[in-house]
Order: sequence, then C-alpha cells, then structure tokens
Amino acid sequence: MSEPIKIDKYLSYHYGGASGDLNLIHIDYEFARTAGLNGIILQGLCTMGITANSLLGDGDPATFKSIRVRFASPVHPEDELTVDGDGGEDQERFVVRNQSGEEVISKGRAVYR
Amino acid sequence: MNRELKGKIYPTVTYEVGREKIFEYARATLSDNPYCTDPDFAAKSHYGVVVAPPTFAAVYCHNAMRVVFEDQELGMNIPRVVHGEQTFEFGEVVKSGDVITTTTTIRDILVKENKEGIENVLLLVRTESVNQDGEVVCFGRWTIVERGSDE
Repeated sequence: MSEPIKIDKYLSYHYGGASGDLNLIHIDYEFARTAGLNGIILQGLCTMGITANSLLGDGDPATFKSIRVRFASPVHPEDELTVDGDGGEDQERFVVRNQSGEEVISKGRAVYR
Repeated sequence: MNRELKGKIYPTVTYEVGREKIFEYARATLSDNPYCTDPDFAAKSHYGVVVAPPTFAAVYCHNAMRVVFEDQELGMNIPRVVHGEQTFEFGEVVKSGDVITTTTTIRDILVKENKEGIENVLLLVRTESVNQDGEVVCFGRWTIVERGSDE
C-alpha cells in the first residue's frame, strides 16, 4: 500500500491548467453544487495519473503496457488517497481509497512489460 | 444525447509535445519520476530527452475529446457528465518533441439504469494516437457517463 497521498486544495486548478480540463465542476464550487455534486471534484484522469505515477515510481515509463480504472466515487480537494495494489510483477490489480476507506478507483489493473 | 451517432469518426487532432508541458503535467499528477522530470537524467537515458508519464495520454487526447464534448450533433449535457471508466494501452513511449495525431470514434451509446433506478447514458469512445513516425503510442477507451436525474 502506498504512503497516503494528500490532494492539495488547489490541485484541480493545477491539473486543469496542465491538462486543459477546466470543466466548471472541477473549479467552481457553486456550479458543482448546482450540478448535484458535493462541491468541486478532482478530474478523474488526475486521480488516474497520480495512481499510475505511484505504481511506476522511478521506473522507465516504457514498463507500462496498459492501465484500466473505474472511477467509483469522486475525489474532493484535501482528500487523502492510498493506492492499494497486489504487488504483482507482470500485472497488478489495485484499488484507490480515500481517508474514509471508500474506493475512489475500483477494478484497477495495470499490465507491465 | 443523440444515440444515433454510434460509429461517428471525428477529424484527427494533432498535438505537439513540449518538454515544459511534460514537467507541468508531472507536477500536477505528483510525479518525480526522473525520466519525466530531470532533464540531465533524461539526457543520459536511452531516450536522450525528457519523456512523458504514460497517462500523459490524457493531455494529447484532450482536444480530441473536447471535440466530442462540444459536438452539437451529439448534444451532451455537460454539467451532468462524469468520467466512468478509462483504459489506456500504450505503444511507443511519448518523447518531448513528438507530434501526436489522434483519431476519435464513438463506439457505442448505451442507456443503463443505476441502483437508484435512474437512467444514465453511457458514451463509449475510442481514441487511437500515433506519433510522427506512424507508430501507435496509445489506444484509449473512454466511458463517459451523462447522469440522469429523478426529476
């Protein structure tokens, strides 16, 4: 299991700039509430990227053959995530949980070269 | 959402990979991988240049996916949209300076009732991204969910 990964309060803005995904549900609290969400949520692909980078560590990016995730529930600013993988060498199944133990990524699978 | 667009193929979208964008993406996804963040390390590596983290696919596919989101003919209700599932299959590693061309196809549009009995619409999209040498760098399978409401 990874060390807890703290989601900075402003990460969705940084990721929005880095990726181009500035959908208002990621940056505007009132808009997110109107859309039926419990405040702004982190871009799913940001959570996926953080997870992949955690699994990869310092390794050569070429070792990643594929990755699959299901976005099970939203990640909010200041959440704390842990990546729980089975440590498989050729392929690894994993989930990501928040500080309440709720799965934010489920059915994760990475295949390595 | 217009469910008759299954099979629609969008015009290709091209993205040129800049080194600073890789650094910015790595910071925003909490990576300190030396291949992606350390120019001196990368220069001495077998790549010779900074390379992108695998999920940088989200960046070079972004404009291609935005065309789908903004497609008036498809008519997605954007505030109701969330990302359901994502798969990336990787080919060649993406290096700074690469030019990536992405082709986007609507694979299917399905209606699925959730546990609360609300009908969500699932949009299944496939992206195929190749580099300037015609080598595949990534196949993406995107499941986008337009959440229904009980009103």
